[in-house]
Amino acid sequence: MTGALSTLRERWGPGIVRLGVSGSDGRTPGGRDAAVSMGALALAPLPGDAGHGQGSATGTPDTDPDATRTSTGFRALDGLIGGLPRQGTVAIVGGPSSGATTLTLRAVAEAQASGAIAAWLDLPGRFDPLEAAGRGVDLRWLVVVRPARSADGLRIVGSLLASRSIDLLVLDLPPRMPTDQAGLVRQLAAQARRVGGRVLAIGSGSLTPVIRDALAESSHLRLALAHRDWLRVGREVVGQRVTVTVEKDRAGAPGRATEIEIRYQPDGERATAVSRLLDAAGRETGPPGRRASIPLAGSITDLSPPVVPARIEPDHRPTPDALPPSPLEPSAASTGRQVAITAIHAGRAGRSAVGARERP
Amino acid sequence: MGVMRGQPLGSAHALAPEAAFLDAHPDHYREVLEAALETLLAVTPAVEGPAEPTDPAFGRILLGIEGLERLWGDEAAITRLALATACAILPGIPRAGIGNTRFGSSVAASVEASIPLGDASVEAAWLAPQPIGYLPADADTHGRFRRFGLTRIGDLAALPRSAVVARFGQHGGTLHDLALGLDARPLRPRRPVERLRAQLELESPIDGTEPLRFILHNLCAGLCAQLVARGAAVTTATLTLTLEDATEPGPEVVQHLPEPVARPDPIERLLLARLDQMTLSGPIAHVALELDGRAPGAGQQLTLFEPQAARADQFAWELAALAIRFPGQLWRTSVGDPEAPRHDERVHWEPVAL
Amino acid sequence: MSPHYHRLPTIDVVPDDRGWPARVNWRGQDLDVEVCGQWRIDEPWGRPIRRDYFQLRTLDPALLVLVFHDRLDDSWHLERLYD
Repeated sequence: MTGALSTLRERWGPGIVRLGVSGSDGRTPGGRDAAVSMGALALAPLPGDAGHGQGSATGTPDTDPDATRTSTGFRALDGLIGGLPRQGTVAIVGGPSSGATTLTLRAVAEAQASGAIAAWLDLPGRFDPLEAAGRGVDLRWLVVVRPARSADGLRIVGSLLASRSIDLLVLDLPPRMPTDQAGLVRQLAAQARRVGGRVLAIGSGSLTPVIRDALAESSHLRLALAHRDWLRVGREVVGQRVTVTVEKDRAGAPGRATEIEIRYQPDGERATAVSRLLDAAGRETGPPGRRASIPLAGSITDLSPPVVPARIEPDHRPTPDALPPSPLEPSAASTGRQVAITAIHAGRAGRSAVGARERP
Repeated sequence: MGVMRGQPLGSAHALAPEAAFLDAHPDHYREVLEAALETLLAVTPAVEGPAEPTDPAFGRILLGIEGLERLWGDEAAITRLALATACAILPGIPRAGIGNTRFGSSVAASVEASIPLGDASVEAAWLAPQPIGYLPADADTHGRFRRFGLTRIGDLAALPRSAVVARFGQHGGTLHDLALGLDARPLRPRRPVERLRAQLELESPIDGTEPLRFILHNLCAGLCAQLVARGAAVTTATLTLTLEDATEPGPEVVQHLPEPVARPDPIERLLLARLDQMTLSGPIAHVALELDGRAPGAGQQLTLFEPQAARADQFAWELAALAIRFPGQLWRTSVGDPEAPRHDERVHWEPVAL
Repeated sequence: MSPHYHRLPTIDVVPDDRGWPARVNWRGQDLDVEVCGQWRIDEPWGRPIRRDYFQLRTLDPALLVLVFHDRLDDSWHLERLYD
């Protein structure tokens, strides 16, 4: 709440924001409007990110062919490219530990938070639901396609796109994909454009040239990820810095680059991050884990445009916003002062039941 | 003596033959605790405590006491009032303790202490000398603590987390967190905070709905976070605008939600869509947003209003049709027990089928 | 669909004298590794688990993986590719 109020105060100057809790006096606001149908209203677009004090996107609205964009999940990257377009094909290329999967998972999570249903064509067979959930992906609105043959997989997801059952398709392309499927990749991209869907294609650097070319032709945004250095605590690697370069962008100039930071939650903490998600959905799985405040070795080179805040923030928060704050964020208050009363205490004083016998 | 809750009577008798065995009256226990919880609502709206006698936490009541100083005085005064209220209804001599977290306050109640206000490190420092038996672990784990020579909570906290996880599994990591004062589980109030309201007085009135979107986004996010932290979700949102030079509040949008919502996005969407249909006759000088919250009843889980829900059927049918043509190639995944040591227990893969 | 897809894949590991990974085979390439972290999990009850986990880093390509040695059947598995 403090962050939201600060944002408002920064934007509106000394405007006074007052909080209050209405009493239980039964007061109801006057002039109630009639309830309106939910379905159509639920599809109304959200406010854009521009104007939230983070600086404007580099793409100007009148040159951007897409109506709205969703966050990549990384603020520095959003500042560079203005988020990901809701339609069309985006290629995310990088080596095996370049952060391409994390970026894609975060983008899926952000899209789902805006109402998208997604499919993941898992040709390499490496989709990890726990990692996905830990990065904020809502597995309820995701289908994973693991086909026996990649051509079948492309047909399956093509059907999902054509029927508009999904809004977002992730194509995880393996290095040794048969070249005769280049045409199918192009068809998928074209179909996405026709139906207003979106494709995120993850490709490692060693894609077969024919497939790589098909992807290059079909995508209107291409991001290349390169590992820069590891973040370590002692000997343990806890994350990495990644350079993201815009290799192609129909809405802007290529060659721009920025740096993002990816934090890896150790297995136990990844599990507890997921537990927090389940807690938000109403299932008790115990206390959430912590996120360590890790001092970084060396300086961070900020390649972002000046409008973006210079400090690159780690961004692996899972959405939705409904989660309670991490207990280890330095500025986070405690969850609140609490009084506990132990009413039945098998202790020194007072009557207490040692054993109990149920009446038959 | 080794006698524990839930133990068969024969075992308990064998351990403590001299013990007095009393008849149980769970209905009466439930009524008494319900009465105590209801009465404590007069002290604070944030009261949590299971009324079901079979619940392991039965007999422990948590009260959120932030922001009550103006009503009742300092924390000590609030606690005295709560205790007096509880004593008037509950048998025995209830004990109270104050903490920054759920776990901390529970331990504090056992020793009738007050943990200083502060962050996790403060909580951890206070917990450190307390017996490790306060940690919520099974008898086997406590036995292993003893064998490792861990007798105080601080003994566990001093160990590297990776070592604790390696020796005690993922639950050990959870206990390690508690030992470090890390317990962000929110208090889930028995009754919802009825309404939360935020108002913004604008020094420079704004024109149109575009700048209003920004304000609404932040007000929604802030209020939703408050409600969710209290274990509630939104059922009604009321947006009231006051125009410049107006003598009374102006256009108002009251939006009822089909299902309780714990996220700001759907609320924003709906309010903005309603605003788009309105014509404002002047600049806006004052914005007020009120969210009505509701907490789940016992055993009830709130569903969340999501845009995807409207297309769930179509999605499911399309998947089923494809699964007929391509059997065994479409999968739904879910997280099982995220703390299970085995991968196949942490995640579940279900083939899509009719 | 074979349930094998949902089990963790094996990985070729050459251990050193301590039994720690010294080299791994990644997509046909033999790569020297640095052990960044290691821990043991022993869960004797239920379905027993006796595993030694290793977080491994390679130089070129820059790779970070989590592997484990299953001491029950002396096999090596890739649990996680950090990407």
